[in-house]
Amino acid sequence: MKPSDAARAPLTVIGGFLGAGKTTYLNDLIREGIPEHSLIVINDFGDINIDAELIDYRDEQLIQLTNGCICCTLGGTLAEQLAKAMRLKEAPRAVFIETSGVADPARIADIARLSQRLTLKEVVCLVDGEQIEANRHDPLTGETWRAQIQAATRILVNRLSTTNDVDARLSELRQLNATAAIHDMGGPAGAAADQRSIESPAITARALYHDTASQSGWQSASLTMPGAVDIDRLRDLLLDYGDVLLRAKGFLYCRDRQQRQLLQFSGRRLNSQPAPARSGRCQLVCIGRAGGRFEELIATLSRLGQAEAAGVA
Amino acid sequence: MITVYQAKSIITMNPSQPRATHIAVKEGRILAVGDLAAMQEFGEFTLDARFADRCLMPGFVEGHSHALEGTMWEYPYLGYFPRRDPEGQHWAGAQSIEAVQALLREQAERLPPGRPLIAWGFDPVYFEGARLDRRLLDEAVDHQPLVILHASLHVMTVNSAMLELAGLHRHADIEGIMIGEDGRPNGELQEMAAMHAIFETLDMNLFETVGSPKTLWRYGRVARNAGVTTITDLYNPLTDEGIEALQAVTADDAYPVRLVPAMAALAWSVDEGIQRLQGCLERGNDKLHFGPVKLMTDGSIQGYTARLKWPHYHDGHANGIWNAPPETLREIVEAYHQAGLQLHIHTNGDEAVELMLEALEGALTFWPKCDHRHTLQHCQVIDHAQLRRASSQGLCLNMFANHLYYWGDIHRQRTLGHERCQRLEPLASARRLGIPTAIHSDAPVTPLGPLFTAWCAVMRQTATGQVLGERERLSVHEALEMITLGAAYTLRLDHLVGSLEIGKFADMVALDRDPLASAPEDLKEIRVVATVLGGRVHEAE
Repeated sequence: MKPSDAARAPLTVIGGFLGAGKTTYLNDLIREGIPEHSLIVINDFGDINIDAELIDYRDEQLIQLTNGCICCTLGGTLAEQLAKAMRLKEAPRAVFIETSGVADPARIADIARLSQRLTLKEVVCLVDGEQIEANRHDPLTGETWRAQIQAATRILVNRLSTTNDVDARLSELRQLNATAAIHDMGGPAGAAADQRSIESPAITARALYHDTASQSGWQSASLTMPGAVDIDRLRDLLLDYGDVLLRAKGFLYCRDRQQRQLLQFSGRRLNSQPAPARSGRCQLVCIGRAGGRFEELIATLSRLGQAEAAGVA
Repeated sequence: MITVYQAKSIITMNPSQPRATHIAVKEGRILAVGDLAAMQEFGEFTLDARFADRCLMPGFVEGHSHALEGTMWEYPYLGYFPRRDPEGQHWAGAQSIEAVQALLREQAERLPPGRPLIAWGFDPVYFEGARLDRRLLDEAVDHQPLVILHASLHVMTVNSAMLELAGLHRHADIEGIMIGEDGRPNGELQEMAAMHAIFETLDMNLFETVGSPKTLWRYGRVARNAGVTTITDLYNPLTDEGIEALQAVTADDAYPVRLVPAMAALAWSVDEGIQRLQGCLERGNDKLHFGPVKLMTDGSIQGYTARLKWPHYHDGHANGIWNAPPETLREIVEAYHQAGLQLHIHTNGDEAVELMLEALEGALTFWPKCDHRHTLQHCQVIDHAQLRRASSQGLCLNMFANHLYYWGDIHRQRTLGHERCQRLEPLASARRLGIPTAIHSDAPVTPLGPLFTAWCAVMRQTATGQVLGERERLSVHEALEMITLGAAYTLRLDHLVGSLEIGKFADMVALDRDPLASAPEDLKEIRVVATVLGGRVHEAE
């Protein structure tokens, strides 16, 4: 009783590492239109942007769109949950699965090859062009990254134009996968260049979580700061806001200093010392009195960091 | 109303008064522990002598198990080792292929014709040489589809009827569909693609009832029969429906156990998860304690999915897999820590331990916090430098002692080799460093039974009787502490349960003999007679 291929829903697997542009790709896909009555399995709703007027119904693990599409997140193993999700609809027109970033897309593609209700359309793999070297040789995840490239039928490379040697990067990918179509998404005038400025600004400030022990009054915010900072300007700024800033702490690169610095601000003093050599993100955490002035400080810090990062680049 | 229980002996786990013979209970709490003379000062009380021949201990605390145990019992049990179901029925286990077949035949007869038979708990590790394949299954059941879930839950074996129904008999070239000598699928299915084909074909959700009141009741009964009075459900998505079920069962006076669900971090985005868990904190009751969040990092050692440091697997197998990108795992740790929540982190391999030590060190540098009690779970091959680091970071450890018995031989021969097996579950070392430590069963992965878990920690014997790492043996007293006060500490409940002291909940287990007066090797033979929860007696079945 093998259903004809026409009756099967095409499965698209969307793979790629964290920060490679999977979510942007998925959002574009949803915005630009996917077949009505599709099933979209994603990592978490926090990442995708669906206009409110397109949403018919939503609960913790399911979003129903007005065009009949269903987005769901996984609450268990993919094998079990996908089978469950497929039972939600009579016959989804198409199925999209966003993989977790450490999954091997080949194994997910196999699902379509074995399923009596699915057929494999393509395995898309998003790649961060700037991170190819780093990803490839990462001791913790390098193997997975290579497997993702190898499993793809279409490789979409973002931010390639910012690397020194575009051809060498592309041929590295080609060596790993001889047959996939490889697209450079990141030309200077291309859409991905715009995406980049939206997706990963040099600094993003977001208020983090309120500590349960201090429900009111205090706020903390965490800023990622990849560029080198002028420490004197930073000191002045923190001192200016000493009335609302309780503490600031973080790892940063400072101009004129080679090594990553551990910065600590408390009691109106800013100390810096070389950070332990361990790798890690550059991040500044500020804790202070909640309110407009604290938010002003965070916004100003963001601008400072942005200007610094632009200056360095 | 005061009730005084008289016992042959009482092990209190209270260092100021380790032994007693009487315990007074009022309004569900312990009024006093001591001898009869100490009780008489309270004037009028009812003397309950039903435990006069028994040994009383603090009710056991299981710090790492899953309510999935309650779901699995919807299906017949096919494991190697004997096990008791929630109703107290003894399942002898199937120790030979013939026994497996006989059990399946018997179960198939109970089902309406054509209905698929599903069985669980089979572990191929114990059937070396004889591979359970579709032929052997067909000999037992050939007219209806048959699915056997392995103990690992990551592998299944199906009969020919099921293979054909799912259309898998046509596929011999896909990873995860195991092939027999004839070049055709032999019925063993690994990997999610093959398992998905089965789930899709069965047209039913196998684990649909996880989180339902019915499952939680079964889970409670399994706990009671094992002498457990406080138990975790260490990977609960905490959906609205799930929270209601937890509240409903624990509101029932007859429910025999206190529940500590830990929210599954990866089921939510970080912001949603933190909000959800913080919203739960006030929604508990005396028998329901929200608080911890559970994070999965790697897989299992016997499944070759745990992340091991160099030189990785003893037999050269490729290193394991991460459950989420390491960067994401780090961010989750930082965010939950910053939000003031307690993390329980699954780390089987030592590389996973390393990643989490880094992440926690970062979080603690940014947001120092005393008494955070973040707990590494399993940490089966944590090395000595890592133990020292865990100690200096103030972490708790909850080790998977049952592994020594169930998979010790496999670890010695295939996955870890001689040296790492000397420090498999390095309990004595953790204790020497003063690290708060517990031991666990991870039910349904291994059977729930704290006394057996304690036996494993004391004897360190594998299923074939080999001793692994003699120097990491615990004394009986130390092991008993880990299944009571030690586990309670990792759940932030040591002020309420885990020892028999004035003011704490009257949670006890009655044993047929005194574990401290018995030979260490007899620990696992000691029988649980009953539990007492908040002063209410629950007879074991």
